[in-house]
Amino acid sequence: MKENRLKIKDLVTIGVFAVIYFVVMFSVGMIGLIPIMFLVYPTILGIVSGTIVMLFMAKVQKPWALLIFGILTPFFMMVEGHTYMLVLHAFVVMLIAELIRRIGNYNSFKYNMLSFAIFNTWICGSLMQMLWAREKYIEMTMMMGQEYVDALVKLVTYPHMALVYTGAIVGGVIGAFIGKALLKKHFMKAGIV
Amino acid sequence: MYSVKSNSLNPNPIPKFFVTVLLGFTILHSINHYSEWALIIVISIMYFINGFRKEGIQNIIVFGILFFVPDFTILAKFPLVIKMLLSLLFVVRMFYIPYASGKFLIKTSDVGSIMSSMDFLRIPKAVSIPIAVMFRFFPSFEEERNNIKMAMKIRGIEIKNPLKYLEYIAVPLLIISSNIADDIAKAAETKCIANPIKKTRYITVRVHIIDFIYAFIMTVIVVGGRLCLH
Repeated sequence: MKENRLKIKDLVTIGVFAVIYFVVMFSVGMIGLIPIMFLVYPTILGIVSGTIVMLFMAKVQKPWALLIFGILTPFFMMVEGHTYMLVLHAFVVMLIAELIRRIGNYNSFKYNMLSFAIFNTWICGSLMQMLWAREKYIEMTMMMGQEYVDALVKLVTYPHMALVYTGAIVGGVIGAFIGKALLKKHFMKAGIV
Repeated sequence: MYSVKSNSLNPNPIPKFFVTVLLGFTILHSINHYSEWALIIVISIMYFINGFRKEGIQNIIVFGILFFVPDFTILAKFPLVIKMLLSLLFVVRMFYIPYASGKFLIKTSDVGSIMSSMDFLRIPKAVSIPIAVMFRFFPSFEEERNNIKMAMKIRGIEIKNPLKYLEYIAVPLLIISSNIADDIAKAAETKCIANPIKKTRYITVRVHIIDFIYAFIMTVIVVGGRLCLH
């Protein structure tokens, strides 16, 4: 009979993979230094981190593992100065991803892929913060000149955010396929999965 | 992580974390400028009484620069591209106050006290074990990454295609990491981590007066700053 509760081994795996994910996220985040790149950041993150999360999902096929894994990074980001909204947003996203994974019984590639695509949208929360704090930001940038403020107001809107979310999902799907290819090529052979 | 002697001037991680979350509110709901300065100064004072002088001074100087950046009207004359880059400073300025308090949390508390405060708050094992592993694994992750880079350099593998490079780095890193994960799990099992009784910790969390003072002062400043705005 297969034990379906999270054991110590799984919890340790969650911690280790959270560190890898965190480091990758920050190195990819460096491109956010160019403000426009913020908008494609979720897509790129999805492509790069696909392998990590897919390997994680292949290793730990148990309920609630993805939720705990996913909530750790936003949690650490909150300690580094983001708002509580990021964590709440991530929690909702992770819950949906977890449920999708449950439908596929934790081991079907199709549902794991969908689940990762949803999982990947949590990072949009950090952009949503900008939207929620928009007035304060615009007030500060007033001295930059009217044209700048206008450009900004046009850029940061809800329809554009929907595009960012779509980008995140597309990036997630691409990342999941790359992850699957790499899993087949390297990790199955090495006996990791 | 720095090891800090447990003393009555260093608040335990719980109020520090509470303050960080509280200051997160100031991003979405702006507060009075004077209160912002008050928050930064309180954090610097906390650094000073715990002996972190450099960090305390640095904190004030960095916030000072960020605070006055929007006042330089000369910036408005720069071309749009430079303005775009400068706008990053505004983002940093918005997030600086909670960041300062988070940095204070990380700098002045060690892993042991964070663990025992998680026990104190009755956080389930499913969350506290991964967090502990994260602290344990961060240094060895950096080590492994440098090892792989060095091995690539020795064999003269050059980076031409960034996608290939990613594969060369990521695959061994992931394999090593998942082996380390198994090792850590075995070590933890050997130390009987699954034992359901209450654990004794090397560092225990004690509640001092400074905890209440720190949390109370910060709350008053934030609430006061919010009320003054209206």
